[in-house]
Parts: sequence; structure tokens; C-alpha cells
Amino acid sequence: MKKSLKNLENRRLLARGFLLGMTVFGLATGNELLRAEDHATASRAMRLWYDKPAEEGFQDALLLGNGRIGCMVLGGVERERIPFNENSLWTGDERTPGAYERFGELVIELEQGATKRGFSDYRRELSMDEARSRVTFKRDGVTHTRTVFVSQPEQVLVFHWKADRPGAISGTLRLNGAHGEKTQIQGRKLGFKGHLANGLQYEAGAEVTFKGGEIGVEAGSIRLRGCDELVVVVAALTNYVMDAARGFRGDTPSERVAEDLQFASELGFDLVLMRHLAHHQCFFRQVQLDLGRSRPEVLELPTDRRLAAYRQKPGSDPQLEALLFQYGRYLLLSSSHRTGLPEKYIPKKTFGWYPGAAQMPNLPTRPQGLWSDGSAASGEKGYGVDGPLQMGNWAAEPANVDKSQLPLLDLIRSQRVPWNQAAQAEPRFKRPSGQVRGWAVRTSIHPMGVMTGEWAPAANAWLCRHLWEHYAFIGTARGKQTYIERFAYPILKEVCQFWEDQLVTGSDGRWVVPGGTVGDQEMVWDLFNNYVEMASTSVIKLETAEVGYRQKIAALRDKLALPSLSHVRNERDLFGIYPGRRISLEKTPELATTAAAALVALEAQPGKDPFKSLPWRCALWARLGQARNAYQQFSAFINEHVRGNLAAGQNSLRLDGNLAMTGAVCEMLLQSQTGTLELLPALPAAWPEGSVKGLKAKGAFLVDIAWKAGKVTSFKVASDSAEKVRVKVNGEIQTITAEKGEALLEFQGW
Amino acid sequence: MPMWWRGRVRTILGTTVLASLALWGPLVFGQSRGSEGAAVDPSRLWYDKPAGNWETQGLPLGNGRLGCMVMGGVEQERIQFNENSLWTGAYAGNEKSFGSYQSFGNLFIDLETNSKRAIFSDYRRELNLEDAEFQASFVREGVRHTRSVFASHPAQVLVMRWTTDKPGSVSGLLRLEGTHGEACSVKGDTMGFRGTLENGIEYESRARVIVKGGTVEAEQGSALRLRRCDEVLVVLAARTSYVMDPSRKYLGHPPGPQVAKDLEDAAVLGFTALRSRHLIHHQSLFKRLTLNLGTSTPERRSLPTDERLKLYGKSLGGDPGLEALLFQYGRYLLLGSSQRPGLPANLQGLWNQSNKPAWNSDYHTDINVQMNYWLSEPANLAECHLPLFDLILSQLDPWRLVARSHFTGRRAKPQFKDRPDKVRGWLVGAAHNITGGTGWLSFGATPNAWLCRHFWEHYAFSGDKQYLRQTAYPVMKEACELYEDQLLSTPDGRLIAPVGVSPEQGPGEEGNTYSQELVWDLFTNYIEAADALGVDRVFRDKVAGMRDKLFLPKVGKWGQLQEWMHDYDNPDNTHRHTSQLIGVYPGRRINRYKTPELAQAATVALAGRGERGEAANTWTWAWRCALWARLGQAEHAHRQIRKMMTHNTYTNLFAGAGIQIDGSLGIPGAICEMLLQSQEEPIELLPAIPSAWSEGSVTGLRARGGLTVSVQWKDGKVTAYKVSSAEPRTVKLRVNGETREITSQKE
Repeated sequence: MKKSLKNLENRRLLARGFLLGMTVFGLATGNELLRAEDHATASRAMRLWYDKPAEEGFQDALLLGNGRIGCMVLGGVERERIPFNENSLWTGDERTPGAYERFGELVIELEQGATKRGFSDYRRELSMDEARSRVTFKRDGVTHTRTVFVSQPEQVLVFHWKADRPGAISGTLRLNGAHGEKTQIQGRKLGFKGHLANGLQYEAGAEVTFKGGEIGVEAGSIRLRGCDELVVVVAALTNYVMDAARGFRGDTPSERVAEDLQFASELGFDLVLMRHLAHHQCFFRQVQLDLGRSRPEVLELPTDRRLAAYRQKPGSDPQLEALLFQYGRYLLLSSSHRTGLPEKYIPKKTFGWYPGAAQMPNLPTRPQGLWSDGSAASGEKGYGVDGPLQMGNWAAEPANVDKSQLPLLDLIRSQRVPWNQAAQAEPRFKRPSGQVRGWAVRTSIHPMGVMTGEWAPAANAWLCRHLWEHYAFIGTARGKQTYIERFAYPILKEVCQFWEDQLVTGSDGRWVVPGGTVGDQEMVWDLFNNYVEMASTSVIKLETAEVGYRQKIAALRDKLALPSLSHVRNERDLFGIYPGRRISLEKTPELATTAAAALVALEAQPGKDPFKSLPWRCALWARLGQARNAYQQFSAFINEHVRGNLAAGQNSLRLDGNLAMTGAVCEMLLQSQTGTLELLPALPAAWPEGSVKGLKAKGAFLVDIAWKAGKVTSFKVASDSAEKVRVKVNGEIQTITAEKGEALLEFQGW
Repeated sequence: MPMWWRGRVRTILGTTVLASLALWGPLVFGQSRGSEGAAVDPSRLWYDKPAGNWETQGLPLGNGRLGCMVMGGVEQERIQFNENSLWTGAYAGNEKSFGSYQSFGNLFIDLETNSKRAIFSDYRRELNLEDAEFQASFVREGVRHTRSVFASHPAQVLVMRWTTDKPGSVSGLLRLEGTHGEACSVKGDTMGFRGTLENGIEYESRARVIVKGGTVEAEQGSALRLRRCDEVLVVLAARTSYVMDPSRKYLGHPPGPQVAKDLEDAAVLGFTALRSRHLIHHQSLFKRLTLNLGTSTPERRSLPTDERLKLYGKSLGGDPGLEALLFQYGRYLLLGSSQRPGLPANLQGLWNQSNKPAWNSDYHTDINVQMNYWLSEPANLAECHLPLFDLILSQLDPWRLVARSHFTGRRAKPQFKDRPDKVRGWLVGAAHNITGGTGWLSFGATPNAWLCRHFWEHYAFSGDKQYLRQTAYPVMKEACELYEDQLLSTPDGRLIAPVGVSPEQGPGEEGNTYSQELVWDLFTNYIEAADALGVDRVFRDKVAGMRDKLFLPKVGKWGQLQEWMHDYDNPDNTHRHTSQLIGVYPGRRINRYKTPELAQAATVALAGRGERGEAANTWTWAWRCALWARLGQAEHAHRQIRKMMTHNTYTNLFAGAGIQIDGSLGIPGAICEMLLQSQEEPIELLPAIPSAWSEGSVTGLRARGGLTVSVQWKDGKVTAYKVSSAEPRTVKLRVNGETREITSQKE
């Protein structure tokens, strides 16, 4: 049946003038909403752009996401495909390992015009500041503009298409599932649903609003005829919940898909966009980085050619380097974020410790973020916990996107029980005392409890480092106490208990990880040290028994065999320098010197995995104060390992490389692991002049630094309360009082 | 078509518009049910079954002092009544001791019939807002019974009449019960009870029964038995010894004699005279304003109110008649809960059946009591505003003592340390009662400025200089003096209000937007008041100087108007209060014409709060509706009304998650802002008219400067309007996007 609808209401509304340039129900150009001019300037700088569609495929697409839903924009003219993902669509269950699945795609086809396949003035761009893509082209004398963003507050993907001549939009629109589902179309709504072999239910829905022209249903698609403007809102959801006790299954997604669509369409395009921008910019704009001016001619180049120019003349484009730093922050924000939802969907127990925002636990970012790039690796099995998962979160705290680390912490907490059960069943962990306390992981973990690969015992300590990092960086926020008491402390403690049971006495009478490497030894030391520090905080009051346990772990830490670092096999063995903090130039200068020599030796051998080794080496050199070496890693990373869309990867996306590199750059600009804020600890000569605003240091200090000729010329340290803090500036240590800062406040309403 | 209208339009618009007038065609207001017949919904709530739940289904009546909730039961009718001065709590107490508002009592009417099986038919229960009258009617054993109830303002009594269509068929038992364990006594045709609360407040209620035909006699010494009457009239009076006089610690004479007189006077008048006086009084106020937001379908209009509301929620609105009813219901409720000589409307208006009500059913000053009065001026019920002023004036003495203790305490400025005699001004916490008690002072100092805004608005709308001079000005000046003494200074010399909290959330920090905007508002209103009266030149200039040095909110990193001095704002925050936008509404510092950047920042902040989670709350919708209206966003404003009616409105149309009268009273105030805005010149007609109200009219809105405004529109455009005032004067108007100057008509 052919059915056509006329949206008279929209048309009438649009005919009316609105004083703030806002209209209703979906349709407006959106340009009027960009606020101040400086914001426009900021957006221009924070932009990747290209003069052709992403012909090479998904790996060159523009990446957009809200931490739960992600999509890729290829920018096709005749046919635009927007594949989207939802980060909980995994096969597998509590016994069988599974893989990450594609969800579906939105396909938009432009009707053949007078000109066959011809177009001009093409531009495809990603504004990181707006977290929005924009594709423009001219065809048959009409300029088309298509924008896409994925809203965090509304939890929907939004596609907007406008032409500069009324009635110029004709074509078809489809919503396709990735598993051969049949798409239902009713009026302006499309949707499909299904379930995987593991029983996971999923559903996607889309709603079309339009201005001018008409739409109708035709052969499994929506047909557009002579529209002026079009908005498609897509919601996608599964019934996965991060709760082992419920078998990782929650309510059927239908109700919420409908509700998400309804809420978004009720608010209207303008308000949804405004809320999206507010939400994204609030987090994204917390850090500004200026590493110097680039030559004007490279600024005019499309990003891919600009990258090529950089490769010919390394170091010639500091603005590209700053862009890459920000891209890491952008990717983390896009691929890892808790989801704000109505309270009824939020399990009560997640509510307490992180108040203010009603947020639901979510899954963390993968090496492909939350996207599927079409490569074999994009459906990879599980999260790699001996590196990729942790490194993907290196930037979270120092680069001030700390909320993006919460999904990793959520994942750890949600898997404690199955991980404990797995450890119980493993003979090697059996001890005469009986029960295995705490948990351990294999190299690959899954969202539904199962694990694959070899046992990676010390990876549990490495994961715990992130619980500790969050604690160390959240300062005096009101949620801190509850975070420690209900979330972090019990987990750190149980993993300490695990190691208390597992450690064995070595030849010299000191404790060692059975069969462990240098890196394993460092990780366990780091765990004990972090636990002792957390248990010593005045924020929580420990009972006598707990104080006794703290002392026991402190003693155990001091009796751990400590590696000499004269010979290291890989970066992992230097864990004590970065991300750990046992070794530092200031406190253990001899060890640091030994480690530096070992690192030089290590660099002589090519890294097996450059996406892992380059950022790690960069961070290590930064911690060792070797700016030139650190910068070499950074520059090599850009030169050899990022694609035209600035995403790291060769045959598949390796965004963990981007995310880790942003974390490493933070180490070049600011370090706080010793408790002293060290400004520009490893500033390379390539960045003689610049500034950074809003980096975060341990203790929740926000730090701004400006420098010239490699020297700090001014700085500002801010915190929630006016605390005293030691700062190392241009080689001198001074104690200053932090200014009252403007951190995002987390508090409970009454 | 009445010629008066065309004539007036011609004089208002002048010759340039005459040409288009012809095109506009006949200009008739759908003013009453008469003129356009069925096109306009009658202002009536009705149901086809009795109320089961007091809070969500009971129907309220009130005369501003005495009110009741009627359930419309068949076998047993329950009329739960209140008198708004029945409060427990110590004199000048704090949040722990200031007591709570009490239920007064219940009148039960048991129907006696031959059959024990409760079978009835043809049931209808309705509340007519225009007549302020409740009526329940049903057929039981072949006899039609009709009970009507109203709360008379002129007679200060509740009146219930019970009739049937068959003589001699009214039989039953009447019982009057207090809620504090009082013994009810019966003497002749009258029963009553009295008591004294711990705080010394005495109270008494009596009901007198007048029957036609049949008999009435005492039963068991505490009830009245009706036997085979043709018709029964019950008149109920209730009073307390409370007086608004701090010098007597709010305790006046025992209420007994006045209660007896109430009943005597009412009995002399009889039902017909009681009712006609009641109608004259009520309609003289209620009918001043008519509102037509468009015609609802006959299907919708044929539904009982509860089913109509349910359908409204399911079909995402589509019932402008029901929205207009909600508006008029708010006006009705204000008339019911706030008229002299009563006290102002509290958190539940005056309807409360519990002696431990939520939040004590008190007066909350960080949004709620103010919101109760948002409609009073623009919706042409300025008289209803007066009880608020009466109460505040009667609390100033104890509130001055509060200021003294507060500003000589721990955080006193040096010059006030141990010098309470030097402290000027008055201070009220975030909640207060009626006997000088106030609590939660740590929540911020500025409720006094917010209350002063109401004194100011009453003048701004009426232009009554005598009122300004005698009543408003001294109160406002005294509040200014408090801030003159107590404002703090930032290192860079900006002035900030002491004791800062953005209501009900966040860090206790000075310099928050809420406090600063309110002090700015107080100073601005004071300056205009002093100018209008031509007095206190020196002090006025000093206040102007302070106003210029006030710290005012900045625009933060995501483009939002900041809620705090520091850029803490988190777009995940869905808190119910929108305190940072108080300068948009009800304040007037931020305006989309004069301060477009700030208005944009306010828009971003409001958008950030969202409409899910905690944002979805009763009165929250009303505030957001008004804010969107002030920001010129008609559809967003309208959606707030729709969501309030969908998610937070009971079947008796009370805004509720528990009765929250501020929601019911706030929404008409907000709707006024969609129809007319006069906070700045030029006065704007239809500043935010949504597509759902494509055609409609309003008569009798009030605008600042003593103006009465009527507007008619079609497709969102003004098609006719009328502006009148006591004396003709020049008025600047913004109509359909154009600014013009007109001369108002003489009223």
C-alpha cells in the first residue's frame, strides 16, 4: 500500500518567525544556535575535513558516538550509509565467549537528478567541538547539507538533511538491521528488532520529520518527494544490563526505544541539538591546548593531505599535533560514557556514589571504540585486559574527561562475581586455606562474565590501578567518600587478598608472583601501594580490623621482591615508571637511570605492536624527563600509524593507540604522580611556545600553563577548596595555595 | 456582532489598520457560553462515579479562609473541611518547632434506605468553577438525590443542600467530627465541637441543620438523625482564635460567639439568598477573565474529566479546552484558598486532611509560596494577593528578631558582633508558619527579597500609589537596609548577598545567581518605587550605587547562564529548581530584546536541565513553562503544560505528587506569560502562542500599569485587541512583531 503523509503542522510552524531562531518539532537549520563567535572559532580549529567521501571504507569514516550508540559517516553523495552500533550488542554468554556485533545502518539515497552522478563543492567534516559531522555538496545547482550527531542526553542518533532550494530533497530512506531483520514501517516510523543466539534482545527505531514535500512508504523504505528539510532520529537498544545477578539481562528494549524517540521528537531538533552541544562542550572544552602556530598553507589543506604534508616535514604542523591530542579526548568522550536515563531504568545500587547525574553503568571503549570498522578485528573477542583496555583509559583523568573512565570501573564491578567463580575453579589458584579470595582475569574478558585466553593474573592489579586513579583525581568532590566506601575500596581490598594468598617466597626470602614477570611484580607492588594509600585517607574511617589489614599489606608491599630493571623485555616491565609510580627521577634517581638505559636498549628492537609501544614509550620518556625522546615517539606515531581520519590503525582501527597517546602527551605537559605538580616535565623543543588549560592533576587540581622558549611564563592551579600544593616550575619547587576552581560539581540534590 | 468592538478597534489601531480590518471580518470574542454556544467548554469538572481518594479525586471548595474537599459518596458523603489558621507549633519557633497546618474536621452524611445493597444509577458529580459549586446527583431506589455544596465568602460558612425528586425521601445520619479527638455535642438542630491546641489556639466548629418536612433529632448525643425530610440544608461554620497580631502572640478571642453568629446569620438568609450572594461575590471575581484556547472535539468534550485527562495524556494533548479548564481551575483554586480575611495559600492551598502533612503544609519561600501568587495579578485576581501581604506584615516583628540573631551570630560582620540593636531589616528562612516561626535559615537570606517582589508587583499592576506608599514601600525599604548592612564584598569589590544557597542543591556558597538576582530585583524595584513616590532621594541613590556593584552571573563554558559564581554547572543536572533563571522569570533583568546574549545563555541553561528525571515534577513544569514563554519559545512552553497534565496531574486536576498547589496555581501564571508580557515596555501580545492554540481569545488579562487587555488571535497572529485602563493613556505595544503606540480606552 502506498501511503503519503503531509506534515502540514510542521510547515505551518516553520512559517512563523521565532525570535531566538529556534523552531519546533525537528526542523531548523541549526546554525543560529551556535552561540558566541569565539565558539565558532574554536570549532573551526577543532575540525577534521576532507574534499571527498570516505571511499576507502569504514576505516576512514568520521566517527561519532555518545558512549553507547556510535556511528560512522562516510559521506556518500548518491548513497549515504550510516552504519551504527550499540555497545552492548555482544554474542556469547556466561559460558561461551562472544563477539561484538554490528547493529544496523541508516541508508539514504538521493534520487537521480538531471545530472547523473555529478556533484561539486564537496566537503566532509567532523567538528570535534560540536561532535557533529557535516557533509556538503552541490548537485544540480542545489547545495545539500547533511549533518549527524549522536546525542548523549537524549540517547539517540540524529541525521539532518537540508537543501538550499525548497523541494530539492527527493530519494529514499532505509533502516536496515545487520542480521537480516525485517524492518517495519508505519507512517513516519521505522524499526526492527530481533534477538541473538544468546537470547539478547535488541531493537532499533527511527522517526522521520520533514518540512515541505511529502513522504510515503514504498518497498521497505520511506520515499521522500520534494522535501525542503528532513530529520531522522534513531534509537537503538538491547536488554543487556551490567548485572551478573540478573544474568546480564534487563527489560525488553521496546518500551524504551519508543520512549527515547518520543522524548527526542517532543523536544524538537533545536533543543536536542542545543542539549547535545551543551553536554559535549561542557566536557570537551575543559582542556585547551596550543602547541604553537602552524604554517598558514597547511591549515588550508584537507586533513588527509595535511597529514601527508606533516609526514614530509615532521614537526611543521604543531596545530595538527594539538588536534591529535584533542582527537584522543574526543574519541574517549564518544566511545565511553555512562548514560543518563530516567531513574526508573537505573539500578538503585549504582545511584548512591555518583550523585547529581542519574546515570546508568555502561561498557567501556574497545580498540575499535564502540564502532565496527568492517575488519576482522572489529568483531574481536572480548576486551584485552593486558593493555588495550587500560591504555584506552590513560587519558581519562589527566586530560580531564574523567567521566569517560567510569564505564571501565563499571565493567570491573559488574564482573567481580563471575571472575571470582572462574578463579575458584582454576587449580593453580587453589590454596590450602580453601576459598580463593578476590578474583583474577584471563587476557580477554567479556561483558557477560566469561573470559578467554591465558590467565593474566597481574592484570587484576592493573585494572585496580584505574579504580585508584579515579580516586586520586576526584579530590574533595562530595561523592568521594561514597565512591571509596561502596565502590573502590572493597575491590582493591579483595584483590590484595587474592595476592596475599598467591604470593610465594623467592630465593632471597622476598615475595614474588609465581611465574611472574618484572611487570607483574611491579603491578602487584602498585596495587599494594595504592591500597595502603587509599586505606590511609582521612575521607573514610577504617575499623580496627581494617587498619590491621592495611598494616599487613604495607608490610607485604615492603617485602615484595623489587626488580632491578637492568634488563627489560618490553614496556610492561617498566610499569613502575608509567603508569605506576614506584620509580621516579626525584625519589629513585638510580633506578630511573637504569630504567632509561633499559628503555634505550628496548627501543633498539622494533615494538611488536606500535599502537601499544609508541604511546607507552612516549609516556615513559616523559616520566624520565626525556622530552626529545618522548616527542620522537609522538611524532613517529603521527608519521607512521594514523590514518587520514587521524585514527590509529593499519588494517583495522586501533583507537586505543590514540587514547593512550593523548594520555602520554599529558605526561609531557604535567605530572603529579609524586604529589608535586611538575609543570612541563618533558617539553620538547618542537613546542617552544604554547599554553594548555584545564589539565587535571592528582588531587583534583586544574592546571593552566603558558610557556615561551620552553619556560613556564605563567600558570594557575585551581581546586575545589583553597588547598596548599607543591608545584615544580622551571626546576624550582614552590608551595602555593590553589585558587578556587571550577570543576564540574557532583552533588546530591536534596 | 456587537458594534462596540469594531468601534474600539478602529480607535485603537487608527486608520492604517482599517484596511486590513475589513479582511479580518467580524471580531467577536467567544466570551461566554452564550455567544458561541458549544464552541467553548464550560468551566466544569465532572465525573460519573464518586471520589475514592481524597487527594486525587476529591473536589475542593473554599472561600479563602474556610474550605472543604467533597467526595460525592452515595451511601456516605464525606465533607472534609479546613480553616487556614488551624496550626500547631510554638510562637516564633524554628523548623523543628513551628508545627504544621491541621485538618479541622469532617462532616459525614450517611444515607438511610430500605435496601442494604448499595445500588445506584445515573451518577454525576461535578464542580462548576463559574458558580464555585459542587454537585453530586444519583438515583437510588427510584429517587433522584442531589447534594450541592459551596463555600460562601460573604457568609463565611460552608453550605450543603440535599434535595430529592420525591418528597419525604431524605433520611440518614449527620455526624460532625474533629480530628483531635474532640467530643461532639448536639443541641437542638445544631452540633459542634471545640478544642484548644497546645500552642493556645482555640477552635470551634458548628453545623446547623434546617429541614423541610420530616424530622431531625439528636442521636446518641453526638449526631443528628434525619427522617423522611423533603429537603435538608446544612450550614457549617468553623473558626479559630488566631489573629494576625504579633503583639498578642497571634492569640485572639475565643471563636465560639463568632461561630454562633455565622450560623445565625446564615440561617436567617436561607439557601436562596446564601447562594445568590455567593454567586455574586464569586462571579464578580472569577468572570473578569475569560479564556478560549480553541475548540476541542465533541468526543473529548463528552468525556468525564478523568477519562478526558487520560486520553489527553495518551494522545499527546490535542485538547485545548482541557488546557483552558486547567487555567481557570488555577484561578478557582486561588479564589478558594486566598481571600481576605483568610491567610494566604499554603503548600496545599488550604486543603489538608492530615495532621502531619507533607512539609507541614507550610509556606515555603524558596519558590512555592511565590509561585502560588504568579497568577494573581496577570489573571486579574489582585485581591487574592492581599492575604499574602497581610501575613508577611504580621510576621515582620518576629522576623526582625530572626535577622538580629542571624547577623550577630557566628558569621557576623565586626560592627554587628554582639550588637543586635544595630541590625536593621527582617529575615525569613526557606519555610515559615503563621505565628512568627521560620526555619532553614541556612538555605539563604534572600527569600525576603523574593517576597518584596510580590509587594512591588501588586503596585506595578495596579499603579496604586497609596498602597505603594503605605504598605509596599516601607517593607521594601527595610529589606534594602538589611542588604545595605549585610552585603559582602569580593576581593575585586563586587557585592554579594550573605548566606548563599541555590535552592535545595549545590554547595552553600555566596554569589550564586539566585541570591544575586533577587537582591538586584529588590534594589531595582525599590529604586522604581522611590522614584514613583519621589521620596528618599539619598537612600535611593545609594541603593542604585549598590545595585551597580552587585556581582551578576556569568556565561559558563557550555554557554549556559551560570548557577554559581564558579562555573560548576553540569548538564547532567536535572534538578527541579531553575533558580539560576530567576532573572528571566519571575524577575525581569534578562530579556530577549534588551539582553539577547543573556537570554541565549538562559536558554542553554534551561535546555540543559532537560525534561526527564527529576525535572519531571509538578511545579517544575509551571516554572519552566513561564521561562520558555519569557524566552519566546511557544512550543517548548506549551510542552510543559502538556507534560504536567500527562505526568503530574490528578484526575481532580490538582497538580500532584501529593497535592502541590503551587503547580496548579503556577501554571495559569505561566500561561499568562504566553499570552501577554508586560515586564518591559513595549507590552507584548501573544509572546509565545503555540500551534496547539491556533485560534482563541482572552479577555480581562491584566498588564502592568493598571491595564486590562483582551486579545483575539488566529493562526498565531493577533486579529484584534483591546487595552483599557482607569484613565486613557499612551501604551507601547508589540503586536505581531511590530511595535506601536496606542491610547488605552477608559474603563
